[in-house]
Amino acid sequence: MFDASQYATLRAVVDRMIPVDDAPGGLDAEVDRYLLTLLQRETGLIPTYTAALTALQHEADIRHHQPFAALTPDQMDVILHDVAAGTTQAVWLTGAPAFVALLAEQCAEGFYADPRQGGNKDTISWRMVGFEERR
Amino acid sequence: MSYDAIVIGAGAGGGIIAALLAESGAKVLFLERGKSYTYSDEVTDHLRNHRLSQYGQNTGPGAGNPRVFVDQQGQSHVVQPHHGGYHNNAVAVGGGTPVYGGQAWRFLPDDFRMAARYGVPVGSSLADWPISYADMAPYYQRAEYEIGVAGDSALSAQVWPRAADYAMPPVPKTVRGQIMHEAATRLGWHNFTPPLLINSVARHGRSACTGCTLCVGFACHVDAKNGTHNTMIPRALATGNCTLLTEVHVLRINMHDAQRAAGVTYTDATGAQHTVQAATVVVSAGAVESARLLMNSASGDHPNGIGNHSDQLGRNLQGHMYPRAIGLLPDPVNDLQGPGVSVCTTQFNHGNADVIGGGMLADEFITLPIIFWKRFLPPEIPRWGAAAKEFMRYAYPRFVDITGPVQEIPSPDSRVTLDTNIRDRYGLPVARLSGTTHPESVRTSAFMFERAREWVEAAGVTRLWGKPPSLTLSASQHQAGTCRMGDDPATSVTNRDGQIHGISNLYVADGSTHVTNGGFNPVLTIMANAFRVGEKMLQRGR
Ligand SMILES: Cc1cc2nc3c(=O)[nH]c(=O)nc-3n(C[C@H](O)[C@H](O)[C@H](O)COP(=O)(O)OP(=O)(O)OC[C@H]3O[C@@H](n4cnc5c(N)ncnc54)[C@H](O)[C@@H]3O)c2cc1C
Repeated sequence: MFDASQYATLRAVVDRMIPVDDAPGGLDAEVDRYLLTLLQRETGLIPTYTAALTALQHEADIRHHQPFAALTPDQMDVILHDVAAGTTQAVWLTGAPAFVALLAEQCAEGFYADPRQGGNKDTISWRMVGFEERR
Repeated sequence: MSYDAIVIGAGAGGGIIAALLAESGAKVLFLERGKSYTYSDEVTDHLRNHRLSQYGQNTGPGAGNPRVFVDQQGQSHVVQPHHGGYHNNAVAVGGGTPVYGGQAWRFLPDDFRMAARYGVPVGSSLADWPISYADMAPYYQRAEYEIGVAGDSALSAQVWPRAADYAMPPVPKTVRGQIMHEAATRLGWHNFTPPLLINSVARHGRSACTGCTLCVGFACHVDAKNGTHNTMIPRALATGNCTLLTEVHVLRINMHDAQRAAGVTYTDATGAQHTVQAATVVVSAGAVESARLLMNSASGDHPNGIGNHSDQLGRNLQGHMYPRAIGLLPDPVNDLQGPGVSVCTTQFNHGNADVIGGGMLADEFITLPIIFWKRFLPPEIPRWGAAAKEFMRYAYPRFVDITGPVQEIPSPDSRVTLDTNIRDRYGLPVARLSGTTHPESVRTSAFMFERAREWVEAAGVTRLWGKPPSLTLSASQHQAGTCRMGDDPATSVTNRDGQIHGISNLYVADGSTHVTNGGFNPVLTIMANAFRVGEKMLQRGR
């Protein structure tokens, strides 16, 4: 579904959506794996993701002449905030602010929903917030 | 094949009617489009259940059953069952009941006489029920005992006149519930543990609730949630008089002549169609689908649908608006005690200055983290980055929320019609949902939002948020009103006994006949009314 550089960009944005602090972050919870699982079921979303990941790569290229995944966290955050605000420099075939909102929501799904959906590995987020599936 | 009765839809209302008829000796054909749904079928998906249906749900309906939702700009949208605009309730043996939360409210005496008490606002179809609380009281009690309600008898007896205690003691209070109980008490508000259709103790061969953390929206893992699926429907089947067919969809009701139904035509899972005759037909398909089925059964004598003699069928579609106030307490309060809802007040159901009616307020069922993220975050909190994560970590253990169903002021323009451009998998026009509730519902909701805020504030929160509901069509899980009962055929679809005016052997027994929907979750009233309608049918010799 994604080529290697799109996938690297995806992993990089997952890390910015839910960064590591003193608790594990989105990549530790395998939110990227959740997104791949989700897109296999919701195939209608694939074009949105591929177009947006490509556009993010272009943003990185225009601004820093580097792949998105090679940027510093601060550089990525500036780009993501700009994209969320609609102040993009690359051509976006898909609505830029709407994509950041969608990505934030679907990363939250991968982080906070049940591990059976592919993310929230070892119930990382539930241990962070104090939830447990107790029967 | 000919039966004494055909019951269409094995939900809250239908399950009760089928049992009463079968136990009286009638041969009943019981037709349900869903499957049996129990815990063994439950995959427990936090994104695909009846509390959060982000990409699907745990029961039906499946593919090929769209609806059309018309927004306030008049734009039509084809919607699938898990979309909000579909206004779905669960589709399974038991209807909504295998996955519901089970709040088990009686309506108050004034809920049956809203027009008499408040007058009729311009543009609204507010009306009194043809029956009173006193007529319903014995049937509420039957539902509380035969299906099984746990509640605080002493404290709720101060709110409703009641002849007997609940069948079981109330569920335990959570830490949050205790804090909110103390806050309400400081405000001088009468409050108590809400009645629930959940076994607080083992009963009738099924175990007690374990207090697990997955309740509303899911099947119960120890079968302690009481619905028609584990009480009345097994009773119906135990008589040997009732044939329950699942995954069959009733396509139309056939008429014998203008005044008498002949039976139904349904399709089975293979797509084969069957036409069956019966002396009596009962429609219990839920408020949206009952209206649609009656419209799709139009014939020469009933060109606009059966029961649509006065252009009333499908109108007055209503549910509940839910104002919600959320706050953060200084210390964690999350004890993971299910079912979770454990304190309520009926202080504001009636008698509020300047608004019509009101509603019950309560705390909430145990809330999954992803639901908190999607529905409860304050608008100003970022949705991504370090601050978003930090807020979840801080807020989830500390939040309290108060919400509740506001009594709707019905509008005749909030309605179900047929959309002949969009068809279901059987080629039938789908339900088209259009209009909004009456603006008075929004005013009452704004008032109730302030009461919810007041309650959360009184708990000593450090942060408080939420916003009052705006004008929308409202139906979904609490859908009601589309086959209004009344004494006057000019303004109603059925008579007070649920019989469609002018058709001697065709009844409606589900949320559709509600004239108004109370300031409470509706299912106990649907159940009580089904006991009442069933008893009337038996008195008439069916
Ligand atoms: C998650 C959830 C939580 C809820 N919590 C509460 C609560 O706490 N308290 C409360 O009071 N209420 C609650 N409800 C609402 C409650 O479940 C409904 O009010 C109730 O089930 C409605 O009863 P009914 O008889 O009108 O219809 P339903 O129970 O919806 O039954 C209708 C049945 O008819 C079937 N049907 C429809 N069309 C056809 C057809 N053409 N052929 C064959 N079969 C057909 C449907 O599949 C369905 O099973 C909740 C619902 C849900 C989903």
